[in-house]
Amino acid sequence: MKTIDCRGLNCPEPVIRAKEALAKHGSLLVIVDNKTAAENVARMARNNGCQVEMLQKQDNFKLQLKASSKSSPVNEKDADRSRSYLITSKTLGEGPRELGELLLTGFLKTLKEVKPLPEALLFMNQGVKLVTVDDAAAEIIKELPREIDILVCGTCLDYFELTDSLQVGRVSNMYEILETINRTGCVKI
Amino acid sequence: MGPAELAEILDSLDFTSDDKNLLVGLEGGDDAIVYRLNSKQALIQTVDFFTPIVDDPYLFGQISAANSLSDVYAMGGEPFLAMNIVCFPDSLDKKILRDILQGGLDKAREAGIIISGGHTIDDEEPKYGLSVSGLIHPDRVVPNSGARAGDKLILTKPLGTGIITTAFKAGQLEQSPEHPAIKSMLQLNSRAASLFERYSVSACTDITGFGLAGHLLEMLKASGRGSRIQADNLPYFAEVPELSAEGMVPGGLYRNREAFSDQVKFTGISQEFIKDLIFDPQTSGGLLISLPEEEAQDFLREFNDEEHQGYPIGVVVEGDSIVLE
Repeated sequence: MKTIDCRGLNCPEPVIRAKEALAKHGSLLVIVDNKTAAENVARMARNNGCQVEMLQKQDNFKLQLKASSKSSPVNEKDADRSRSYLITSKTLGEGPRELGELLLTGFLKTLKEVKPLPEALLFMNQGVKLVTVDDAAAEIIKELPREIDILVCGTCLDYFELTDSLQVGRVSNMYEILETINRTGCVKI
Repeated sequence: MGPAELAEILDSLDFTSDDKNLLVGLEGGDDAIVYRLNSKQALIQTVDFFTPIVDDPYLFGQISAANSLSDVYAMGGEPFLAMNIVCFPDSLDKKILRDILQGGLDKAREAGIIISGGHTIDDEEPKYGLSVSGLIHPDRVVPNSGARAGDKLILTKPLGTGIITTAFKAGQLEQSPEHPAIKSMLQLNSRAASLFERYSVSACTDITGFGLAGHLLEMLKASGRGSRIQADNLPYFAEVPELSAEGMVPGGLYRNREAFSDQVKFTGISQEFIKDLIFDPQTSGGLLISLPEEEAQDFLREFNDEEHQGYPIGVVVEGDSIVLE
């Protein structure tokens, strides 16, 4: 993988270099030595449709940027199309609560076994409890492969006053969630 | 240095004084110190300087001078005298220094004050600013600490100069003197301050390095109040949402967020960049004015013209934090 070393550079220089390299290479490893640069490179990459993994070792940050399917050819067959799942409740389907919870736990556990992996899980409304106060569910979601983007509705976290309790995933907004729904084959769970 | 580190150092030092003539000291996080000279006059004293935020030395000189003068206006006072503070490397063309000083001088003339002398030291990176003296009637001092529940909060310049100047440095935006952010940084805060004596302004501060959140919190803490801010009413420069998504975010914004975010509550904010905007460190930012609701409309009517616009961004309430809704 193409690596660019931006240690010793202050922002915004690493962002500019990473953006240029990303346009050429698609995937990229960026090394920076300060938090501002790391946060800014991650932010730029995410907003350009990349998946970002950040690793901090002492003062060095390694950021792995992977172009997601957004930048892959558009005319791919429907079967190959990336998927996302919209989760708005603590249960799967209507019916007895106990059964619904059991099914949802099973669903989350099985996700990683079935290919292709979804591109993203979108948590909204009551669904945000699965990544915050529901420890058991949060643990399962933490174990999911890193390439699955976990988007959590910020408005919902605010509403339930759970912003500080987020255990897994990242806070997102209606624009990004809607954009993900449009781009992927989205299924409501 | 981040606000948290600075607060830690300042807290360990005793700046208090028994002198009854010291009307405003360091305690309220105010913009300047105010000292009573006699029954009719108090002296306002302030100093500020920083590294270039635009490439053009003449523009930088003007912006830095406007920024230094702002602390006097934020107390409701009138500046009358200033001295230059300069750091400049031997290796750079001296014409650059001349242009910086010319910028400061022209801004001082616009403000109607005298610049006389100053101090210059050799330093790797240029820095420029002013030490400013102002005057005010001792009874008309507007401290940080007077905000009352029910007051309207008016902001006199858009937010986002930290993000915009980061993009300037990155060459992502052209540094035109006509860019709204540069025009805004060049603008003196004198017009708002000159209106204070006709309104019951209860508190005022200027928005600079700690961003809207940091400076508003200083005011609220000193006043023992909280506030509700309407996110939709926050003014910003047009390019800010896109630039912040592209990572054109200054380190100071992250430091401000770290220091202040536990005292800021977001409810139902759908636009992510708003959460950046309120922590964005400002250069030569606007005044944040707290005044009774019934006077807010008249103040805005009198303040707004072709060059100036004030924005009602929220209200002061009982409490101790900022709620952004």
